[in-house]
Amino acid sequence: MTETELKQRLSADVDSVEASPDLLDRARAGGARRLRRRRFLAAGAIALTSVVVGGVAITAPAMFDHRSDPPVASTPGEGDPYAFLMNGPTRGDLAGDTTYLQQVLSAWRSSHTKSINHDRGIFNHLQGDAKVAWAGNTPGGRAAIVVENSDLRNHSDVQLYHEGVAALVGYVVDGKDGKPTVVGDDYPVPGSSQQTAFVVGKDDTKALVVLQMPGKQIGLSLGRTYAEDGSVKRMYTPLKFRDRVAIVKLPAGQKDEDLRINRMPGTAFSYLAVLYTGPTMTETPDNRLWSGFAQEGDGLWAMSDGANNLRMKANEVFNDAIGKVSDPNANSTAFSIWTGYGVTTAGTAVYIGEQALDNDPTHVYAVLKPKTGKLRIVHGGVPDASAALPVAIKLPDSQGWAIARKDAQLSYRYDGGAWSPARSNALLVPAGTHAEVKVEAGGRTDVVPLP
Amino acid sequence: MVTRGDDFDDFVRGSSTRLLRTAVLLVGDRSAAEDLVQEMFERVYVRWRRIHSAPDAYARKTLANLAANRWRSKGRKPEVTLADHDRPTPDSAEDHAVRAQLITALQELPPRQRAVIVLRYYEDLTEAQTADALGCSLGTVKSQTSRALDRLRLITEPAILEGLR
Repeated sequence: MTETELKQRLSADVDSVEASPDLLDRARAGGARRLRRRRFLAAGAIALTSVVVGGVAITAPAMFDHRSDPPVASTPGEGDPYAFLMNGPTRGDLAGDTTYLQQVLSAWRSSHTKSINHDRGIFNHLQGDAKVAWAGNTPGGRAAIVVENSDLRNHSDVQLYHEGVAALVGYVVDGKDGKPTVVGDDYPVPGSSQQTAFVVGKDDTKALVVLQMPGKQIGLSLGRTYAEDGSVKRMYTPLKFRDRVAIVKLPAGQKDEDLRINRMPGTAFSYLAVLYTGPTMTETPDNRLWSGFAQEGDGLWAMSDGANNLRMKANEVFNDAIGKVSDPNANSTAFSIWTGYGVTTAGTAVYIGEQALDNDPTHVYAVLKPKTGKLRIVHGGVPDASAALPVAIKLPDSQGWAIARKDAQLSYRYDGGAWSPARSNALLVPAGTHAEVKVEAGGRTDVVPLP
Repeated sequence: MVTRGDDFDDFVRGSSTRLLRTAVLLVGDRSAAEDLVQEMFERVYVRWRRIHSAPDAYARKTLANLAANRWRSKGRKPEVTLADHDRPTPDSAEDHAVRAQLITALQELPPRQRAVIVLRYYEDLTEAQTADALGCSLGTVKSQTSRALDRLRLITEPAILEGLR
């Protein structure tokens, strides 16, 4: 089922539901009653402001009565983020190259019908003249930023908080023929990401041009790092702006999709984005280690005895723990479908599973919840799906190992002794000397030493 | 007598069925959904002077909050699922069964994930608008959407969500 079909099926589920004709009367009567009550309570609260003890009793019901009321937004959205570009002369070292500027404006005008935003109607009511806000040389070739006002209207694909005039922005690089070409445009959608950076490339050299947003210190991240404590982070380097842009030469081999810009210090979700011009990204990459379970229970694997009480919430506990320390700026996250759960001899609850971000390889983790103390995550690295034992995570504090292989029988032994009883799919191995795991799967038996 | 004028009446008439359908998807129970929608419109009535220029967003936020509060106070399971509705559906018994399966699967999701799916795929809100309605970050909407779709696939595959990839 596609997302469109999901929408259609949700609609079909309720298409026979109709509101009662007397709903309006009931809403009016109930609303008026609430309004009278509010006024009564407000008057009571004012009258009793000097009586501290009584004030609590009077105001508390009013607070609870509106616990579900959201705050009323006075001015939704950020208004017009690109408007400042309409002010002042063209900036950049190519500002005096009138021939280039004319070519840029020509490219802008001819690009509208090919824009992905064309069908959203953003070019339907252009206002005034376009101008080149910035034009300059970069290590990746010439680049320019165009701005033009447009009277934006709500549209089938555009939902605005406010209709009205706002600035559109266009990003221009040299095409294969050496002539200016618009690679993307953007318009202000309150609350949504703004595309404020674009990549310029010539030969094998690429540069990133980042638009300065007034009042914001902006940083650049080239990629994410996976730490031993299970956290997935990005380091953002503050950018230095001149003439409203920052120009950064990108390292050789840098993938455009790994670039992120963010307000410093870069720990929050970013509402700033790099214009992406590559192939369409998938909603959820199918790069999990294990998926395709017929039923939810098939992916819940007991790793020890005495862990039944962990089963019901095992998947949720694992994914929540990993999600909290993960990169908030992933485009898509493939959460673990399978979860191993068990209890160590020390009484620590252990959960294992995987998570894949965007097109990165999947990573496996162990989440440990001791009887007392803080939750801890151990990064198990990138699993080798073809290995006899793809998941083997050494637990801290001499608590042994958590191991897993789908559809395998797993047992362990120490110092070449007797094998333990076998367990399916996943297993907790207590700490011991010269520990080995026997993996029986697909008619084959392998013995794998644990590190 | 306090009145809110024709514009409030027009808003209720124009949005009541749509918001009731949203509420049914959020709580999985027709009568509970009707109670929620009435309470939501009462709150809209109280705030009308401040929100009349854009009442939809306020109404959706209130509905989502009321639905979440209802779950918090009553627990996960609805009393009566949508499958019990008296519905004159012209489609086949098989189609009806598929619908019942989807709505049942939807009710198996945690409240926040269910709300994200309903707002994104039924109300057709953008991620940013969904975040605004639910009072959470855009990142949360993205992660909850991904997780909810994964869980829906897991719960329903292969019967009804086959191919939702």
